[in-house]
Amino acid sequence: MSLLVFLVACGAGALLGLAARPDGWFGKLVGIGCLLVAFVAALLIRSGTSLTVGDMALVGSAYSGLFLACATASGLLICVVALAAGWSYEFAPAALASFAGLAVALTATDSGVALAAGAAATTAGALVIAKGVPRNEAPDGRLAEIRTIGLVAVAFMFAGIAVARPPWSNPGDSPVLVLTFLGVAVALAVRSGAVPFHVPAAHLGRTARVFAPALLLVWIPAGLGLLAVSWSATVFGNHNEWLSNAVVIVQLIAIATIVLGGLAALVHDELEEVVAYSIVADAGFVLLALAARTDAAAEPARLWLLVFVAAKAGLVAWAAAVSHAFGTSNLAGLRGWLRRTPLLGLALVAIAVATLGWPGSAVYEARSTIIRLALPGSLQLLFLASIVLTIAYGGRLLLLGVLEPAADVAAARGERPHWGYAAAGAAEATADLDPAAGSPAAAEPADTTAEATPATRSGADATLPGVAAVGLEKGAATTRRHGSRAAAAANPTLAVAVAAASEPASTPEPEPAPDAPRKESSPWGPRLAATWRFNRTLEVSLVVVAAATLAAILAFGGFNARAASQSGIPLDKAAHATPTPTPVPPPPGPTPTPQPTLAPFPSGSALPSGSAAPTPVPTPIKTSGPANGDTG
Amino acid sequence: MIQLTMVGAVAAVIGGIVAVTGRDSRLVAAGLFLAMVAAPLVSSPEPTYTALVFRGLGALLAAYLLWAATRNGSISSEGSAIGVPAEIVAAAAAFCVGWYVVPVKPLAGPLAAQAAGIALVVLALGPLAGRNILRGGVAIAVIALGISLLMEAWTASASSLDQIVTTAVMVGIVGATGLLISPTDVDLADDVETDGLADEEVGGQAVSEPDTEPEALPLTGRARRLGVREPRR
Repeated sequence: MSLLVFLVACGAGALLGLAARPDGWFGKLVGIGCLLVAFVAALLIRSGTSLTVGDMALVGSAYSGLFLACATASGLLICVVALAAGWSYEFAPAALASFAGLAVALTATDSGVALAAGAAATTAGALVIAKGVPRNEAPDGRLAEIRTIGLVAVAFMFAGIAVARPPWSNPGDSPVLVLTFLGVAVALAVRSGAVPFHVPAAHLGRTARVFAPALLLVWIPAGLGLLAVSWSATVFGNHNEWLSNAVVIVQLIAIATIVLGGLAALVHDELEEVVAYSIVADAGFVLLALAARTDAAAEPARLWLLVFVAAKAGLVAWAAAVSHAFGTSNLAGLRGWLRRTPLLGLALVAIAVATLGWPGSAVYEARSTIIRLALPGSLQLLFLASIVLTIAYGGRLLLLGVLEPAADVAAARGERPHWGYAAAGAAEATADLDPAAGSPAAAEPADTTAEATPATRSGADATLPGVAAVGLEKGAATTRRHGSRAAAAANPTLAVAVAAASEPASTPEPEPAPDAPRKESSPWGPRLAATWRFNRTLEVSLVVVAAATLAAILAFGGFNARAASQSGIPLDKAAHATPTPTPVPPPPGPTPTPQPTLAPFPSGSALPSGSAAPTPVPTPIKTSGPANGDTG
Repeated sequence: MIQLTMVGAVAAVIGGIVAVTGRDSRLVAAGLFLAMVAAPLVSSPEPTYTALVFRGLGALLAAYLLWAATRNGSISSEGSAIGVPAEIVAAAAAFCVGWYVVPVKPLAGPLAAQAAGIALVVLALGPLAGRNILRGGVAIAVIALGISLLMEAWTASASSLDQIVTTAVMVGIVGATGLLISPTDVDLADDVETDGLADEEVGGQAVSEPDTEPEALPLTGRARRLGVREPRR
């Protein structure tokens, strides 16, 4: 029942969200509401949950339930952040559609259905790709996206054929398995933005909607990686030279992704690119798990994917919150961010801890086990390198945050709570300060206005919130003309009011502002509304902290993550149950030695070759898998 | 007696040829619809009526999504890169190869499914090499359809859930193609380097811009005779 509710919530939410008006409240309500219902339903998915469709059943497991709950929870938190940081009406439907596909993929008992459903989930990513303007010099991600969708669809559908292991005419199906292994690995690498397929991922900040990296680089690759690991660890138990060469290629891609991705996150100056490369670097562990080709790598890979989903979605939300709070995503303009938003700093530390863990923690052991199983001894240093690089780019962000604040950061409101009466008082005080605010002395050159985000620009043109008086509107408008952020930096009293006037237009409008006598007569309603509006940065930061906390708890094995990772998904069982095809018996040939038990025949007479000896009947052999049934 | 699987296989290949070679987007959508409707018929045993209806509805939805994305006429396509006759010959040759080769022995499904699957995969290879999003998306849909037929021939695993998921994959691919080729976002036109043009001009040009790259269209012989010069690349 819970699986049915999950699928219905995701499907209905995706369809209704796409049908809703882009600028209306209905789409937001449907997106968040359906994510909430899906999250609750995912929490109820257990090992006994099943849903029969025709002659086939979808069977839940503890891990699939936890994975879907983790994905929907992170999606829900991101959508809440998006209410303040800029809502993209395609994001929630795309996330819901991909979650529905992943739910089928993670619960299908038939391997072909599971892999095809994973391919179907990938197609939802096209929803969050922005349609670029022709002749614009900005990169256009549409061609890369359609090619990625095609590659994933072809590779995973063909993998569905390979895992069924039809009786090929040639003895042995190694060529098919090698080709399929390479196809699945490359599809996973391209979807997750692994080096050398990283360019579209790095450009997502310009070619896709807000929060698109959470879908395109985190949720979908994690689901595909889960399918690939379940499939690879079982089917490719056999070894041959071609497969070993293919594994080496995957290992090289994974090593390059972890090292170069970490380095790229260290040297880039745009926050979106830093986040994208951070995600890409950590996705390299999934490729390593794929290259390990052993069941022992499946469990740590599953645990790592849980943490990966929570931590990296939290990182995307963190980046959006920082960009929203300070109006820029350039690291030079974000100098001193930690002084104004310490909660976001706490969230960043929690995300880093969730990503790395420490010795003895579940995620630390999972990462080290994956590397130990996938790489030879001389390359084990990659584990240390990944830790050092993660600390390096995380430390760079934190170090940048404690420096002297840049102009945008100094002008921002930060996380310090503001109460409604204080805000109204500030508005009145600001109205009195109008001439000073508009004076050339207070207004610096308007370079910061040019750097304002589109959401800020649109918000600046919108009607002022009700808490602002007429005088404030005049003063704030004057200040915007002369560079709102810089002028507000020179006038801290005005900063609060100007920031309120620059809220994104997508945020709900509070009730009309009462004048002073009405405020005294009904103090709580408008005051609470103003308080809610004036503390937007604080509220966003708290949501991001919640997402980071979720990731940290999972990283240390909380929410029964470690036990759930041992249970696996139904695809594990389906792939393990796939028999090796019956080998074609070799053509009869001359028997080299006479049968010792037979009486000697006269010279010149012989038995028909092989006719006397009974031909052993080949029996189907299970592929290598855990004998204790720990996969399900 | 002509079997239903054979009719379905031939119809699927014809639909694939029309989808890959059509110059009009409506023709492309119609070809894709024909191929998607005919493909589930190439199955043994025949799928249930429910599965057939579901696949048909999926084909209708996919065709509609593609038609809706291209109905404003702003998107045209060059058609086949190697020409319609060459595509037909390639598809026929691939169909024959698929009819006679025996990669899987014994075959679990109908032989016609294998032949049609190989033909559709071969048909889709040409457009995949190009940079046209519409062509690429249609080719991916055709190749996915071909793989589903190969799966039917080699593993005979067309359960109800399998039909649903295959339909979801096809609709997803075609829907993604329709999304990616649909007219550009006006809200992103603010980021265009205007170079002295008014915003309205840029926005209008952006919306009505055909998806094909202008430099990819060669001049006709008549234009050359009239002295029209090739655009600078």
